[in-house]
Amino acid sequence: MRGALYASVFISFIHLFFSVTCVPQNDYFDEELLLKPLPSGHVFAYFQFTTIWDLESEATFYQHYHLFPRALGEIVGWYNVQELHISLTAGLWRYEHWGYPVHDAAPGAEMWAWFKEDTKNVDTTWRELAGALSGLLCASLNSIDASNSLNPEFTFQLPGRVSSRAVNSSYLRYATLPREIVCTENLTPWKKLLPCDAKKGLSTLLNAGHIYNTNYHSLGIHLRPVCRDSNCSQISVELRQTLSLVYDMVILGIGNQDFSIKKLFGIGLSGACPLATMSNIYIDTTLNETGASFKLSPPPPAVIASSRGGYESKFAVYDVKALGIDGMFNIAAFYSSPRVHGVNLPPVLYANRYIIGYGQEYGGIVTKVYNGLWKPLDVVYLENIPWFIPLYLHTLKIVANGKEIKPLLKRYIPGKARTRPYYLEVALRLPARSTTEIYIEFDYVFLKWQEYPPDANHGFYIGAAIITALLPVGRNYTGLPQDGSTISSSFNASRDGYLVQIRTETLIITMPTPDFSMPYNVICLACTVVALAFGPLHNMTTKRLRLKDEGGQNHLISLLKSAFKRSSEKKEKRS
Amino acid sequence: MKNMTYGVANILVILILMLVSSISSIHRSLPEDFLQAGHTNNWAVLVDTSRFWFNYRHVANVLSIYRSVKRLGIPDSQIILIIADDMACNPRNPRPATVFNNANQHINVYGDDVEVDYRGYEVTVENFVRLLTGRLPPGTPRSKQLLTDEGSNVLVYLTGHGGDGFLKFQDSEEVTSQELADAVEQMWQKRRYHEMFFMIDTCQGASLYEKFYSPNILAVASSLVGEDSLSHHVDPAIGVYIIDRYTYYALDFLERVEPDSTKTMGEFLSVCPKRACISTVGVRKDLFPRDPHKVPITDFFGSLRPVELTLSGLNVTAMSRTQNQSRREELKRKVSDRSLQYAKQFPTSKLGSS
Repeated sequence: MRGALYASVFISFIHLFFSVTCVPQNDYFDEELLLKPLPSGHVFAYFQFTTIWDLESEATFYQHYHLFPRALGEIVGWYNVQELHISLTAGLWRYEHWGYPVHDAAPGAEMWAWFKEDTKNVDTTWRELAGALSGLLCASLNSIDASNSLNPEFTFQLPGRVSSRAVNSSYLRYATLPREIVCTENLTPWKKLLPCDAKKGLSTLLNAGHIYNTNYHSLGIHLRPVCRDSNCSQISVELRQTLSLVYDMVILGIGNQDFSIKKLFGIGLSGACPLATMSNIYIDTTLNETGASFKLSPPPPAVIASSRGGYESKFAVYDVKALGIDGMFNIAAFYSSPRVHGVNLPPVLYANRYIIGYGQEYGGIVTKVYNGLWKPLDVVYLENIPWFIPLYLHTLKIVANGKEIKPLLKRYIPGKARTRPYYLEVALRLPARSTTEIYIEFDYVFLKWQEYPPDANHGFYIGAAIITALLPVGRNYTGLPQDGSTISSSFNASRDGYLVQIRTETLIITMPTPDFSMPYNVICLACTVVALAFGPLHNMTTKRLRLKDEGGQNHLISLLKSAFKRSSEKKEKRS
Repeated sequence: MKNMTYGVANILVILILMLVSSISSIHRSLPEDFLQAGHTNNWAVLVDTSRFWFNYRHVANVLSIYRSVKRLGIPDSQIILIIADDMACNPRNPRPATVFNNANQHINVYGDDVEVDYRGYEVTVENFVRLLTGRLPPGTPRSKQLLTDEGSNVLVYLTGHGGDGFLKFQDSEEVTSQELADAVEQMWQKRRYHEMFFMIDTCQGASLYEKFYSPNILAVASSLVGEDSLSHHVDPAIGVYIIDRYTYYALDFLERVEPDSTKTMGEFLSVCPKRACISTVGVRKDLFPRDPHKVPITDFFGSLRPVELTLSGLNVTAMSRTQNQSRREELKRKVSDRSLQYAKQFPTSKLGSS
């Protein structure tokens, strides 16, 4: 980006010396922000920065950078990556209350990548890719290796464009780090990948203090090849940098639900990124009709009515480029009444998960999947259990509305200590209007002394399970269609099905943890005992007790002794 | 092709500008100390070894030094910041994404622009020693490597809980003073530093530098052997001690340093007299050949680099237009043979559903 600015400064100089004109690069950048008041009183803010790069051919992949971040492009090119998805999340997305997010993400770090078909050693490449990305994003992704990675067969299909050949999941790797922390140190390098950095445009709204006070925040990087046009003869590379935030207006709003750009992000907007072709802000005003009504100020220049999967929604659209902002710009929503909550219509599919079992030995995991649809729904359930939690497949029990059901498909690879996690993927047909419980047991085991983390008593995490389904209705759905790249492409985008990949809660279990100070105590105690025992024993075994010829000093005692002896002898004699 | 010509044009413009600037700079005289500096680059290794919320102050310590070196010109790519726990986004922190040096919230030492290189469970003695000695596994990203050379001035700052001859890492392991001294000697033998400034803020900190035997090291510790290092003050809003005394006064001093200031290392070594620190600040100068009072503080805390000017030009020839064109067309033909499509996102056919 800096190069581009630099170039534009000197462009006039170049004209002086050479009669060469600079052709526009074949990539473009869009920035978008979606604000959606949720029925629960929260506000969902979703930033998306999309860079699309029309590559001339695959051979010139990741050369001659313009808007695309070079730091990421070099890594992706070097490790032969076809597709890459990373998310760094804190908090849990509450499907039941908030509907579906644009991008589902598991708490902590989540990463999956598809490698190109000519990749030789996928496991090594995957580990090295994770290491390189850990440096780029300041996250501990370098702890990803074969021991915590899976290649699920059904859950992930290539979302990007592929050749007609069948896609093989052996080139896919998926891993989560549920313990990963997300903070400013991850946001800083993420912002640096944007063409305008955080200097201009919507990215200026990303201030750490107003991002990390949210109930849920999720940073994402999604890279995939896409079709350039409808007949799909050529490819482009699409990079989506996403940030999802859920603000709790009960905490932020002082007695009211009103929200504004300034209230949410702490700063007004100073204009669009000059490198962006599109710079839009969308505000979902659907709730205006059914729930608490609010008025937007300034009034929106345009309103889009979107019909998707049988559900209507309305969006106020502000084109930041066309606004001609001078100074600071703010959009505010004022509610007509103080704190009215909308009617919450829970989404058709959501899930919960919890731990059962007793003692320090027997444990179990229960996942409850709710299907609110009027007809049966096919889902794929993926479980990713670390190697130190041995699962028992024979205890797998699936009960829907009190009746046991058989899975359509089952894939299971048992874990192996220190080398491979437990992989379980089950396809189910959920009955209509049902609650399905998926139940499986595990054991608590001891680890080796050095394998315990420094805070072993905190507990050990089990990553989120993923429930994938293709919903027939678009209620509460905000995701982008497969053939679309921007938020604007999701308006009026009715398709055959709407893909959701629900992430459940991560679990924390208390493993049997040894008393780490025990060896020290044992050494101290044992040494004391040995020292106390050794002295007398040594004396007794090495020294000979010998009568000493007693003289002057002990005269009195010996005199008494002899007198005593004598008297006792007399007594004996008497008896 | 046009890109290439454009690139050539750009380089030529830069060359011309360089020529112009070099001619104008010949008349300007450079400061004496600037040319005499023996080093060519600056690096900083800043380590906090303590986990858990009650060790908030150690994170504030290390971030104070991070803030200062960054402000004085060492880029993030040359700072290895190692933090064992997350305080800024800790659920117990009522002010998310901030770490303050003061209960009055004077300076947010965490800031809005921070890059942590090793964090959480990655902070181990092994990783620290590997970082210093450069013996890292293949595939380690640049930001996790100490890519110093014989011209590097390295600032090493450690904070955590220490004892006589050791420093604890995350309450589960420790590095001894002998191990540290051997790692530094290995660095010297591998020409990984020119001069080193070793700072440590722990209890009995002086014991950590006592075993050093490699040349060109200036060391300072917040307390002598047998003494405790003390914290500065508590913040009732978060319920923990917020910073340690020695680093508090060091930051106080560094805040008044500018990249062009003439303050010396000698002044820095006496930032915390006994009445302020309560512990005695230990200094070791016998391995350091220069007089600290003549060493500018920016030799370690800043990054002022001597610049050599060159007047010789460089010719770059572009690829011929036809050659490039034909190659591209060939590649295009290869690609367009294939038919492309989007994959189905849900394995409907495999499940046998209607």
